[in-house]
Amino acid sequence: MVTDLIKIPCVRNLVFRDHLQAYPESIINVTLHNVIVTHKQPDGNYKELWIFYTNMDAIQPKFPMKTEFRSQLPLSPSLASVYTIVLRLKTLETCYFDVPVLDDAIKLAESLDALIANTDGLTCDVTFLFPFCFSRDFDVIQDGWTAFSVESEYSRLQAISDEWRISDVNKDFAICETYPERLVVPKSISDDYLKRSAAFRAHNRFPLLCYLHKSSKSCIIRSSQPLVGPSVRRCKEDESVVNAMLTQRNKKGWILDTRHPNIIKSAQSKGGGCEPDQYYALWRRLNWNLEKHNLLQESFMKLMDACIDQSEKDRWLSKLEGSNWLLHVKETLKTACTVAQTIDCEETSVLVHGSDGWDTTLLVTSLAQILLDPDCRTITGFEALIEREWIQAGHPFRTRCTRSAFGRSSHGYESPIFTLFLDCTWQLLQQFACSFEFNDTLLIELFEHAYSSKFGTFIFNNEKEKKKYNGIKQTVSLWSYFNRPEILHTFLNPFYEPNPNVLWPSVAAPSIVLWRSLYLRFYENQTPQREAWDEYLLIKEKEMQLRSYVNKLRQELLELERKCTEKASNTTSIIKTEKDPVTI
Amino acid sequence: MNRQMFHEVFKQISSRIDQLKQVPSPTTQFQVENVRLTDRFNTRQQIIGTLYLTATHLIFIDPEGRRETWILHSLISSVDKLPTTQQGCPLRVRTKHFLSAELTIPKERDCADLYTTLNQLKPDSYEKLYCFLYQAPNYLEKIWDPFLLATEYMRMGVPNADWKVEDGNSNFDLCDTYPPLIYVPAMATKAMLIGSSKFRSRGRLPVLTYLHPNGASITRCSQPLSGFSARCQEDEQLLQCILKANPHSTTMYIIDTRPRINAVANRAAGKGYENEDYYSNIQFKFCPIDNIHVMRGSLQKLLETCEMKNPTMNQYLSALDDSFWLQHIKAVLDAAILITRAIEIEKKNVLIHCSDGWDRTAQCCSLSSLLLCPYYRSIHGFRMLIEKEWLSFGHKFSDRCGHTTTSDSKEQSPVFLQFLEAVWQLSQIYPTAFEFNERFLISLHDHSHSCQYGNFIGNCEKDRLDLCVKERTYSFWNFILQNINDFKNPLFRPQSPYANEVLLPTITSQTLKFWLNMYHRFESALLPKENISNTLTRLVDHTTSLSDHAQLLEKRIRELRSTLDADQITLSSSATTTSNEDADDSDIEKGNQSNKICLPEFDSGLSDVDLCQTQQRDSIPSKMNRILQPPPPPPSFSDVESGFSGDYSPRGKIPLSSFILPHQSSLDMNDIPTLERIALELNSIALDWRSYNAPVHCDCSLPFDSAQRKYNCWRCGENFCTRCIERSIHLPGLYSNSLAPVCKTCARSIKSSPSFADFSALVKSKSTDFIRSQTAMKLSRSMVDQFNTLR
Repeated sequence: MVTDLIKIPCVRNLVFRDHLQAYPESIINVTLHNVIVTHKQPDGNYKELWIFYTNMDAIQPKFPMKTEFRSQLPLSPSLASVYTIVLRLKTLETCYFDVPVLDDAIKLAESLDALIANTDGLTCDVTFLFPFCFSRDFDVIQDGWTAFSVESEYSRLQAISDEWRISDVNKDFAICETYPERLVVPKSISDDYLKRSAAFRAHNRFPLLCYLHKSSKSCIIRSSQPLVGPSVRRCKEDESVVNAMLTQRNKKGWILDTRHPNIIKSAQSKGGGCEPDQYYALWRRLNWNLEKHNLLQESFMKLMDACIDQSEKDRWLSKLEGSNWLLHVKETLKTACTVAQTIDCEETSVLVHGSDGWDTTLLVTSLAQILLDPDCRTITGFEALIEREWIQAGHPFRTRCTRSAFGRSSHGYESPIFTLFLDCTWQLLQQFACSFEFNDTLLIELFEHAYSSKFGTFIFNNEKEKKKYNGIKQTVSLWSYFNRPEILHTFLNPFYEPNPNVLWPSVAAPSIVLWRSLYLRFYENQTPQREAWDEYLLIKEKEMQLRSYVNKLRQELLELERKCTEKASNTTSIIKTEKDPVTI
Repeated sequence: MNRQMFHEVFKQISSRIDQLKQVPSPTTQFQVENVRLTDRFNTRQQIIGTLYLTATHLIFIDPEGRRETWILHSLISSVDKLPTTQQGCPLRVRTKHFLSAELTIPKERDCADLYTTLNQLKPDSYEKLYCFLYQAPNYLEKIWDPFLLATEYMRMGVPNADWKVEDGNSNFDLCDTYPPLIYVPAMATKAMLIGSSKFRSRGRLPVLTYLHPNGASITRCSQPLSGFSARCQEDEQLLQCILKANPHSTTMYIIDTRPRINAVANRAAGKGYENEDYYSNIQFKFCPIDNIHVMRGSLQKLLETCEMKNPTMNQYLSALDDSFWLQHIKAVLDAAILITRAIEIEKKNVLIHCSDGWDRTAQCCSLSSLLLCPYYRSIHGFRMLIEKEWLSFGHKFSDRCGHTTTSDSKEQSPVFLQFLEAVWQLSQIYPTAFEFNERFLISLHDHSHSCQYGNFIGNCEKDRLDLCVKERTYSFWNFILQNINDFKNPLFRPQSPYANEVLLPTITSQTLKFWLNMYHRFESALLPKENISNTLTRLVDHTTSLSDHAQLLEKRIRELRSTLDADQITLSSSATTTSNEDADDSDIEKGNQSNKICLPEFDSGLSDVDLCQTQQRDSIPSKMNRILQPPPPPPSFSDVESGFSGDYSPRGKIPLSSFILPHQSSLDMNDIPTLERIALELNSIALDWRSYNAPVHCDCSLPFDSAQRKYNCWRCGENFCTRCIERSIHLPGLYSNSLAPVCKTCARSIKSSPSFADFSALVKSKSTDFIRSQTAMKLSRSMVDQFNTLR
C-alpha cells in the first residue's frame, strides 16, 4: 500500500527552492496521491504546490551539501548545514528542498524514492493512479470520451470518397488488441481479408487508412511491419488490402519504412521485415532512418541535462549538439514533408510503417496530416488528430511516459515520441505563426498531461486497456477539461487566419530551433514573455474593437445623413444630394 | 521551398525607398547579359538575368524584371573569383550586410573586367565615400539637428555640485578623439586633467559618461601608461575626485574589460593597468572580453557557418559553437551586467577602460547605461546613447567598418555589431521594454557600413568636423525620424516595469539565440514563413488609421446633429437620437471596463490623437526624462472640437512630440459637410485590411515573402511593397492631417475625385506652415531652449 511507503507524512521548516526563487519556512505534506508543498509568497500569502506521484521523475539527495555544489545553485540559502533533496519532475521542473534535520531528510528522500518506484508505468496497477480517484470539479460541456468518434471521421471521409465503410471486424478487439473496435476500411475488402492481413502483420496491425487528401484523393496508410521473415513469406490478402487503398490506380504508391535498412534486415531474420518488391509491384519503397526508444530517450535526457546545466563548464551549444535532439526534430520533419510532398505534389498514396507501427509511424503520419490538412491546425482538429492518430492508434502512452528526462528506468521502454511530435508541431507553429488556431500553451499542456495528469486520456496503452479498466466511466477525459470556454480561451492564437494551403516548412538546420518555452520554462524568467503575450492580445483586441466601433459610427453617420437629406428635400437647404454611393 | 532567394537585397526600407525609387543611375558603366545568379541553398535553381554596374551600385535584374538585386559598392566586403565552370566564370560577391551572391558570367573577359572594376571602385579616400554623392529622395533634407552632448548630460542632471563641464578640449588639444566638452568631477583641477591625459593612452583621460539617479556614475578612459612601475600623481588624484563625487560609497570599481593576460602583456609595452597599491580605495576587476582581432576571426567563422551548404544539424551546431560568437556576446553582456549591479545595487562608481577605450569600453558603457536607464530604451534615447558613447567618444567607425581602402584590414572588427546584437538579445529577453524593433538595429548596422549618411564617417568627432559632414551629407537620424513607424516595436509597453526600471537579467549560455534575421536575412527560405512582428505592425497601423478615422466620424456626427438641431428638428426624433447616443456611450464604457482598452468616447474633450500623443510622450519613460518633456497640450484643444477655433493657432509651433504630427482639424469648423464630402471621407478609409499572409505578390508583380516589409494602403486595404506606396496624400477621412500610406491607384483616384480639390486646397492653406516645421528637425523645443541658455 502507498501508506506503507510514506515514512514521514510531514516535514516542516524547510526551504523550498526552484531555479528562480527560494521560499523559507515551507512545509511538505505527503498525502495519498500528492506531495503538497506549502510555501509563502513574497506578498505573505501561502501557496500550495501539488505534485502528483506520477509527476515525480527522480530524486537526488545531497547529504551533506558540498560547498562546491551549493555555489552553483541559484539563491542558495546561507544555512550552515542543510540536507538538500533535489526533486526532478516529469514536467521538467526541478524543486530543491533544504531540510534542516538529517533524519527527516533521509525519511523524506526514502519515501519519495519508494513512491517514484511505485508509480512505474509497467508494474503499477493503473486503477491506483490518481485519475481513478479524481472527481470532476467542473461542468462538462462536451464529453471528451465521445467527442471524437469513428462515425464523425467517417462522415468527413464520405464527403470526399464513397469507397470506404465502417467495419466491426475488431469487435471486442478480436483481431487486433491495439486498434479500436470500429474501423474504417475499403469497401472492396471483406472482413475475412482483413483478418488474414492482420495475421501477416506484427501485432496484427493491418494497414489502415489515416488520411485522405481532398484534392488528390491520395491517402496516408499506416500499419506495422509485415511478417515476411527469412523465408520471404507472402500473404495475398494483405497485398489486396494494401492495393485496395491505392486510390490513384495509374500511379505507383510509396511504402515508407521508418527504419534503417540494416534494422530491417535484422528484423527480417526475426520474422519481420518489409514488403518485397516482387509481391507489392504497385509500390516503391523508401527508407527514412528515424530513431526511437533508447536512443531517443537518451537524447531527451541529454537535452535536458544541457538545458539545466548552469555550471558553464561545458559549452552549451556543443552539449546541445551532443544531445542530437534537434537532429531528431529535423529528420522527423523532413520525413513528414516527404510524405506530404508525395500526397500533395506527386498525388499518390503512402504506406508508412516501422516495426510495431505505434511509435515513429504515428509521428510521421500525424505530422504529415498537420502539413496537409488545415483542419488539423484548429484546436478541435488537433485534439481529434491526437485522439485518432495517437490514442486510438494504440501509442502506448503509459509505457512510453513512465519516465521523463531525468529518471532512470529499469525496463527501457520509455521514449519521448509524443514529446518529439509536440516539438515538431511547435517548429511548424513558429514558422507559420498565423496558420494555427492554437498557441504553444496547448502544446505545453499536452506535454504535461501526457506525463502526469489527473485525467484518464493518456494513462492507457491502448483502447482495449481503457475498456478493461472501464476508463470511460472511471476517469475524466482531458478533452472534457480542455473544451470548456475558459480553458479553451487560453489556447487561442490571436493571429490565427485559416490557411487552406499545405504548409512547406524549412527543414534547413538554421530554421530548427530549440523550444525554449517548453524545455527552459522553469529555468528562465517567463514574466517578460508573458507580458509580451498580453500585449499581443491587447493589440489584436484593440484593433477589432475599433473596427466595430468605426463600423457603428459609419452607420450612424449614414442614418443622420439620410435624415438631413430628407430635411433638405423638404426645406431646400445647402446640403446637396448624394452623388457617389458610399461603401462601407 | 522558396526558390527566390535574392529577391530583395535592400530589405531595409531605407535602401528600398532611397535607392529603388530612383531610376538606375545614368552612368551605367558596364552591362552583362545572361548572368546566372546561383542560389546558395538550392544550387540547381539558377536565375538568368542581366547585370548592370553603375557608379554606385551593382545591379542584377532577372528577365521578368520581377526581382532586382541591388548591391551598393560601399557594402561590398569582398569579390572573389571562383574556379571556371562550363557555364562561365563564377564571381562570389560578399557584402557587409551578409549577402553572399554567386554570379556566373559567361565570358571570362567580362568577368575579369568586372572583377577589376569592382575592386577599383572601392573608395580610397573619405572624399570618395557614397555619402558625398548620395542624393536622397525629396522628403529627406540635408538637415542635421544639432545633437548636443550638453542636453544629454543635462538630462542626467549634470553639471551639478559633484560634476562640472570642462571646455579644455575645445580645440582637441587634450585628446583628439574626445568631444570638445568633457565632464569631470567638480573638484578636478586643470592640472589634474592635463596630467592624467598624458598618463593615459592617446590622452583619453577618465571622463563622466553616465550618472545614475542614486549618485553612482560610469566614467571611461583608456589604459594607463603604467608599464611595470610608472605612476602619475595627477591621475591618482583625478580618480580620487571621481570616487568622492559619489557621496554614497567609499570605494569604487575600476573595470578592465580585457582578459588579464592581455592587460599584463601590455605592461611590457609601457601600458597596462592601474596598480592597486597606488590608487587608494579602488577595487580592480577584469572582465575578459577578447580583442578586436579575435572578434573579427569569430565573425568570419560565424559567416562561414552561415554559408555552409545544407549542413546537417550537428555540423551546423558545432560550427556555430566553434565560432565562439555567442560566447563573445555573452562576455560583453556579462561585463555590462556586472557594471549595472555595481551601480544599482552597490551604488559604487565604476571606471571602465580597455586598451584604447573606444571598443570594449564603448560596448560596456553603452550596454550598462541601457540596462540602468530606461530612457535609452526609447528610440530617441538610444540615439543619444550612440551619439554619446560611440560617436562622441571616438569609436573608430571608418576603421572598424573598413569604409575606405586606406584603412588597415586588420583594424576592421564587428565591435558595433556585437553591441547591436547584445541589445537584440536583451530585446528578446524583454520584448516589451524597448521602443525600437529589430529592423532599427539592422538598419543601424547596415548604415554604419553603407556610408550613405554622414553620421558614421570618420573615426572621431574631429574627423567629421574636418569633413564637414553636417553640411555635405544627410543624417541617418533624419531618415529614421521620417520613417519612424517602421522602426517602432509594436510590443513596447511604456507602463511596463521593464520599460521603467533597471534591468538585471540573468544571462546563461542557454539564454542567447542566434540572430537569424541579421545573418540569414537574404535567405528568406530559412526564415519563418509567417512573421508575427510584421503582423503586429500591421495591426497597430490599422488601429492608428481607424482611431483617426473614428474621430472624424464622431465630429461629423456631431456636426450633422447640430445641423439637425439647428433646423429645429422635431423634439421626438432628436430625443431618440440622443438616447441612442447614450446607449452607445454606455456600451463603449462597458467595453472599456471589461477590456481595459481605451476607446475614444463620444464627447470627451481630449481626442484620441491627443491620447496618442500622451502615450507617445510617455513612451520615453523615466522620471528624469520628464524634465525635458514639454508640458501637456493646452486644454484649448477641446475648443477645436466644439468648433470655436478662435485663438487656436498651431502655426509657428514646433511639434510637441518629435514623432507625431501636431493635432489639427482638417476643416474649418463652421463648414457644414456636404454629402459628397462625407462620401469621400468614408471612401478614403478601408475598414478591413488585407492580411499579410494571403497575397503572394504585390500589384507590381514583385513576389512577396515573409521577411519583407509590406504596407497596407489606408484607402483600399490591400498589400503593397514599398515601391508601390505613396506617402504624399492627405486622406480626407482622417481627422489629423497626417500623410497616410496610399497605393498608387488609390492616390490617382483620390486626387482626381472632384471634392478632393477643395479639400486639398483647404489642407494646404492650413498646413503649409506646419509642414515646413515638420520637415525641420523635430528636436523638442525645450531642448533647443535649454541649449540656447547653455550657450
